[in-house]
Amino acid sequence: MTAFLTFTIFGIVTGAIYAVAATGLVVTYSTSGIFNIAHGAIGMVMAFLYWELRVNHHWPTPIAIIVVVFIAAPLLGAVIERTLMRRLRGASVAQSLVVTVGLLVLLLGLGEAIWKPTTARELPPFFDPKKFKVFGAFVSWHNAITILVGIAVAVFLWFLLSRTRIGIAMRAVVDDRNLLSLNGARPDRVSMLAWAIGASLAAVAGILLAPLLQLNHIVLTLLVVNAYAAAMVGRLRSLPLTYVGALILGLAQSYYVGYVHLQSTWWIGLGPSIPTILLFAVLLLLPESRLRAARLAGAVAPRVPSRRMSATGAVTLVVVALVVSRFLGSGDIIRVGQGLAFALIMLSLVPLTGYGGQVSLCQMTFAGLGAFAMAKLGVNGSIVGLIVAAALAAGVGALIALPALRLQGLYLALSTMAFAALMDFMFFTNQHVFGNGGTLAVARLKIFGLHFTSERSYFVLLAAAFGGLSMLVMWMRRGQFGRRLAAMRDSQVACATLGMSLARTKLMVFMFSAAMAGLAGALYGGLKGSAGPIDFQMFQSLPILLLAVLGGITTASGALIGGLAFSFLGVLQAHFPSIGGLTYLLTGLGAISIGRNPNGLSFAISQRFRQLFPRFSPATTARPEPVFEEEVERVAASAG
Amino acid sequence: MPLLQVDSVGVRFGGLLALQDVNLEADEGSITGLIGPNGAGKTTLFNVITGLQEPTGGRVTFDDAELQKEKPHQRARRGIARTFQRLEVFGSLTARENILVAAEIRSGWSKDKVDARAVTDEILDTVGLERQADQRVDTMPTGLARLVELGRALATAPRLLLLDEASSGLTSTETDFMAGLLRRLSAAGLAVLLVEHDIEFVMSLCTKIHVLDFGRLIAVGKPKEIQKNEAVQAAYLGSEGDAA
Repeated sequence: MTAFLTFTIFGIVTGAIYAVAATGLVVTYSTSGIFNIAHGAIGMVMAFLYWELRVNHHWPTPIAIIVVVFIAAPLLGAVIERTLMRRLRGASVAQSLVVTVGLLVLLLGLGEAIWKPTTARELPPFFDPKKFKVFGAFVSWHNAITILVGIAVAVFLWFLLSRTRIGIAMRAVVDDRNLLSLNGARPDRVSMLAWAIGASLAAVAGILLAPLLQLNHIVLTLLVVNAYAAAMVGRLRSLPLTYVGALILGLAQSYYVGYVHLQSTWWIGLGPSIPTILLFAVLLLLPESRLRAARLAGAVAPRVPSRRMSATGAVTLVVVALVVSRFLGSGDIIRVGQGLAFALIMLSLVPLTGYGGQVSLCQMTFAGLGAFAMAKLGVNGSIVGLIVAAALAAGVGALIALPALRLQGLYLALSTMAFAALMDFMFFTNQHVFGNGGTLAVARLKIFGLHFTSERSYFVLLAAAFGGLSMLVMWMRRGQFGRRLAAMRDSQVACATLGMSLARTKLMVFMFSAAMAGLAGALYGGLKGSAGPIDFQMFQSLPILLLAVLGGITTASGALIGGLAFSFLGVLQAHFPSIGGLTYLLTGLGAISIGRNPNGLSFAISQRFRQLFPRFSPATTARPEPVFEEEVERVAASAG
Repeated sequence: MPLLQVDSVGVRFGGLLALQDVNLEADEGSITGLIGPNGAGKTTLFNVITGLQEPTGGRVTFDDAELQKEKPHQRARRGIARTFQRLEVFGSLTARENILVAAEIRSGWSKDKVDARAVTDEILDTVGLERQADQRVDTMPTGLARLVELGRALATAPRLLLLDEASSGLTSTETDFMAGLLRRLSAAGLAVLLVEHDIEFVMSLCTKIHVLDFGRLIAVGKPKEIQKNEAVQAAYLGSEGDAA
C-alpha cells in the first residue's frame, strides 16, 4: 500500500510538471494560433540559467527564481513574440512550424554553446534532502512544492482568464483578432503577454523537472512532446482537460516504473514512449477537424522545370561528381558524399512539404529504417535491401500518418515528432536492433554486376541517385498527382468540394516521401559502411527539415544546397570544437529568417540569376494578396 | 421532388444563431436566387449544403439521399459543386490546370470514362478562357479568376451548382457574359443556386428567390413578388440603407 502511495504521489508530481508545461503551450497556442515546438527548449535554457545563478554563482534560491521565472523567461517570450511570431500571422502551418523548429534548434545550439554538454551538472531539489511522511509514504519537499506550484498555476490561470480584462481579451484574440481591436483591445499586446506567460511556465517546468531527471539539454527540450501529449487531451484549448491529460501521463509513467516489469529487453524503451502512445490514442479518438478557408501569405510557388531541364540538371550533377571525385581526398569524398546523402533525404521533403504543404519531423527516422533494412537484407549489396528499405519506410509512414490525416496539418507534423522520439527510445537504442551498443554493417550497393565498393564509385552513385530521384520527383510534379498536390497546398477547401479525398492524397504523398527517405537512408548507411543508434535520432531530423527549407523546399537544387550545407556545418563544427552546438546555432538562426522570407536560398539565387540574365527566364511573380471586401458578416450579425 | 431540399436547417456559433429554421429548394433546369444583407447567413448555408459546416439541426437532401453524414468530397461526388465568395482558386496553377485537376479528380473516382484533357478544353471554351488558359491564376484579375473557379466547378460535371457572389468583381461585360452562361447551363438541365449582391443580376436570372435576414428566411417567391415584399425592403433599408 505504501508503495502504491509512493508511486501515486510521484505520478502526481510528474503530472504537475507536465501540466505546468502543457498549459504554457495551450496559452500561447490559443492566443497566437502558433504551436510553440520550442517550448521545451525555452524551459531547458531557463533551467540552465537557473543552475548558472543558483549553483554556479551561489545566488540565494528565491532571488535566482525571481530573476529566471519572472524576469528572464517572460522577457525571452516577449522578444520571441515581437521579433518572430508576429510576422507569422497568416503564414502557412509549414512556415510557422519551420520557424518554431528553428527556434528550438537555435536555443538548443545556444544552450550547448554556453553550457557544454560534456560537463556534468546537477540541479539540487528544493530543500534537499528534507522530506515528510504522509500515510507512511515519504514525500520530499521538492515534490510537495511541485504539486503546490501545479495548483497555483491552475488558480492563477483561471483567475487571469476569467476575472481580468486582459485575460478575457486573451481568450478573444484567437477568435477574431480584428473584432477584438474594434472593441478597443490591443491584440499585439495580448499575444506578447501570452508568450511571456508561456515562457515563464516553461521555465517553471524546466526548473522543477531537471532535479528529478537530469539537467540535460535533450531531455529537457523533449519535454515539449510530453506537454503536447497532455495538451492534446484538451485539444490544445481546454486547460482543465490539459490538467487531466498531464495527470494521466504522470501517473501512467509512474505506475509503469513501479509495476510493469517486462522480462524481455525488447521493451526497454517503453516507459519513455508512453507520451507518444497516449498521443496517438488521443489522435485516434478526436473527431475530424473542420476545413477552413485559409489564405497563405508570401510563399511563392516556383515554376516547374521541364523534362529537358531536369534531365540536363541530373546529367550535369553526375558529370560534376565524376570530375570532382578525381580531385577530392578520401576524407573529403566521404564528407561531400555525406552531403549528397543528406540531400537525398531532404529531397524526400520536396514532394511532401514543398508541393503538398505537409511537414514531417521524422525523415531521419525513415532513413534509419532504410539503413536497418539494407543492413539486414542488403547482404553483399543486394538490391533487395534497397527495395525493402523503401517499402518498410513507406509502410511505417502510412501507420503513423493515418491517425493524424483527418486532422489539420499541424497534428501530422507533431505526430511525426512524437513518433521520432518513440523510435529513439524503442528502436534505435534497442540492443536487439543494433546489437549491444554496437553498429550494424551496411553493405554498398551492387546492381547490374557493378559493385560500388570504392569511395569514388559510391560517390558517383550517390550523385546519380540524387539526379535520378529528382527527375522522378519533377516528373511526378508535372503529372496528375503533382497537380493534385499543388492544388491541395493552395486550397484544401476547394479540393474537398471538388471531390478529392484529402486524407488519401496526404497519405499517398506521405508514403512516397517516407519511401524516398528510406531509400536515401539505405544509401547513406552504405556510404558510412555502418548504421548506429545515434545516426538517425529525432534531433537529426530537425536540421534536415530546416536546411531543406532554407535551401528551397520546392526544388531539387534546394535539397542539394541544404544537404551540402548540412555536411559542411559538420566539418565546421569539427574545426571549432570549442563552440558547442554550432550546427544547431547556425541552422536555427537561418531557419528563423524563414519568417521573413519563406522561399529559401535557391529561390533567392534564381531570382538574382534572373535579374542578371532576364532573357533566360520569364519572371515568377509573387503571389499577390487578392483584395476583397473585409469579412464583415459576423460583425454585422452580432451588431444586430 | 426537387433536386436539393434544405429542411429547417439551423446553425449556431456560440451564442449567435447564424441560421434558424431555414427551408430551401432548388430544381433541375432552373436558377434559384438567395439574397440578403451582409451577415444574413448565405455563405453559411452554402457551407452546410457542401459539408463544410455541420448544422446544429435540420436536414439536407440531395437527389433523395440524406447528406448529413457525408464529408465534403463525398457530396461533391454526388454532383454538388460550388464557388467561393472569397476566391479559392489554385493560384500556383494555370487556368487550364485548375480545370484539369478537377476533371482528373472526377476521372479518379467516376465510373464514366472521363477524358480529362478533352473536358478541360471544352470547358475553357464554355467559360471563354481559351486565350488565358496558360496564365497562372494568381496573376489574373478577379473577374477572370471567378471564371476559372466556375470552370473548375463545371469540370466535376455537377448537377447542382452553388455560386457564391458570382458577379462580384466582374466588369459589366463579364457580368453579361456570366448571365448568358448561367442561362445556357440551366437550360441544359443544371440546377443553379445563386448568392448575389447585385439585385438586378438576380432579378433578371432567377425564377425563384429566397431572402435571408439574420439567419431567418423572410421571403420566398418570384422576382416580382420579392421586389414588392415589404419585409424584404425593410431588411435592406434597415441594415444597409441601399440594396447594393
